[in-house]
Amino acid sequence: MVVVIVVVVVLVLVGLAWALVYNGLIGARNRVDEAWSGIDVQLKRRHDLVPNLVAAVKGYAAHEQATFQAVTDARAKAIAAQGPVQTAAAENELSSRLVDVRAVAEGYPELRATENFQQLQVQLTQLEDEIQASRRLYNGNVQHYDTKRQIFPNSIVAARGPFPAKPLFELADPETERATPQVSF
Amino acid sequence: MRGAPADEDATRGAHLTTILRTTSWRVGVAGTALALGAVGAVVGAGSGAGPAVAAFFGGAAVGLLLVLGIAFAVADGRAASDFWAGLATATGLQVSDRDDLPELTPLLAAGDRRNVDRWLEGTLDGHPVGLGHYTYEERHRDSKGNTSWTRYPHTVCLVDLEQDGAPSWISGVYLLRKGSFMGMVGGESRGRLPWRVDRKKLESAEFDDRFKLFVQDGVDEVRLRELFSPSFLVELIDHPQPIGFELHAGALLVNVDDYRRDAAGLTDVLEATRAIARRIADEIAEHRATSG
Repeated sequence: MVVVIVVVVVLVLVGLAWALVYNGLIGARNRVDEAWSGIDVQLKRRHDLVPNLVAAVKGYAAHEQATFQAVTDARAKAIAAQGPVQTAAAENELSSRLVDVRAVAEGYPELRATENFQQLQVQLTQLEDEIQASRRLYNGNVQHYDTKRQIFPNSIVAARGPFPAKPLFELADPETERATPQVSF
Repeated sequence: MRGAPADEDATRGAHLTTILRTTSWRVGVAGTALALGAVGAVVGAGSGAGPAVAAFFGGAAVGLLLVLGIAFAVADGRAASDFWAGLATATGLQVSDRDDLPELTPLLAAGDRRNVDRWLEGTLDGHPVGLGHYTYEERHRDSKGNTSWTRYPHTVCLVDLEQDGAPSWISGVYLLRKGSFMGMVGGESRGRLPWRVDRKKLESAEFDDRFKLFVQDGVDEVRLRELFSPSFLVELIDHPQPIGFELHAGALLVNVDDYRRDAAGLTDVLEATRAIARRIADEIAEHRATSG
C-alpha cells in the first residue's frame, strides 16, 4: 500500500513539474513569436514607405530606371519572404537597394531640399532604428527560449514537445550602410 | 560636465585647506586643544588616573580631532553646495531650498514621512522640472512599542507634463525596476502603488527580467504599446542608470535608488527624463493628430 502511495505521489509530482516546465517553454516560445510579429510590423511599415521614396526620387531622376526597378523587385521579395532566415536575406537586399536610391538622391540638391523627401528620410531612419531595436529584442527572446529549451530538466520536455529551435534574425547595420553610399558619376 | 565639479567631494580638500589656513581656525584649533588639554590635566590629576602631562596631551589630542572634525564637516557641506551650484549652472537649472515635494506619484506619496535633501529647479524643453535627492521613510513599531525608521533615498527628476494635456489613456503608467525599493518582489510592489493597477508584460524577456510595468485602469493598451516601442525598450534596458519611472496625472517622475552624488549620474537621470518626456509628448501629439 505504502509503495502504491509513494508511486502515486511521485507520479503526481513529476506530472506537476512536467506541466510547469511545459508552460514555461510555451510562454518563452510565444514571446519569440510576439517579438517576431513586432519585427514584422516594422518591416511592413518600411515596405509601405519604399514606393513613396521611389516616387519622390523618380520625379527628379527618371533615367535611373534600373535602380528603381531593383528596389521595387527587392521590396517584392521582402514582402514575399517567410521566416527569419529568408526575411533577413531579403531585407538586407532591400536595404542595399535603398542605399542606392539614396545615393541617386544625393545628386539632386533640390530634391533633398524638399520637405516631402526630408520627411521620408526621417521616417525611414526612424523605422530602421525601430527595426534594429526589434531585432535585438527578438534575438534576446530567442536566446532566452533556447536557454530554457536546453537546460535540464527542460530539455527532456522540450525534446518531446512542439519546441523547435528558433533562428536568430541577422540584419546588416543600416548605420554602416548609410555611412558608405555608393555614389556613381 | 563643464562648470560642475565631478562630484560632491571634488572640492572638499580645497575647502578644508582654505579653512585650516584661516587665522581664526588656527586660533580655534590651538585654543580648543589647550582648553581640553587643561581640562584633561585637571581631571586626570584629580582622579589619579595618570600623570597630568599625559592627561594634558590626551585632552589636547581630543580637542584637535574635534576641531578638525568640525572643519571637515564644514568643508564637506561647502563642497556639496559647490557641486550643486555648478551642476545647476551646467544644466540651466537653479538651486532650490525646497525640502518637500507634492505627493504627485506613488513614490512621492510613499512611506510615513518624506523629505528633499537637495533640489534643482527650472525647465526642461519648456516643461517645469526638478532634479535632486528625495527620501521617504517607513515607520516600524516593535512589540515593545519602540519606533524605528527605515530610509529609502532616491535620486529623482520630476517633470510637469500637464501642459500637454496628459490624457487619461496614458495617465497611470508605473515602470518599476526589479530589485529597487519600489519594485520589491511579489505583490509588495503592487501594494506600494496606491491605485488599482494591472501588471503588463511586454514583448521582451530581457525587459521583463529588469522591469515590472503596472498600468492603471483606463490606460489604452494599444497606445501603451506604441509608447513602449522597441527602440524605447532597448533604451530603457541599456540605460547606464537603473532607472524606473512613474507617469501619473500629468506628472512624470524618473527615479533611481540611492543618491547619485556625481555629475555624470545626475545628468544621466536628467537626460533620461528628457528622452522619456519627449516620447510621451510625441505620443500625445500623435494621438491628438489621429483623433482629430
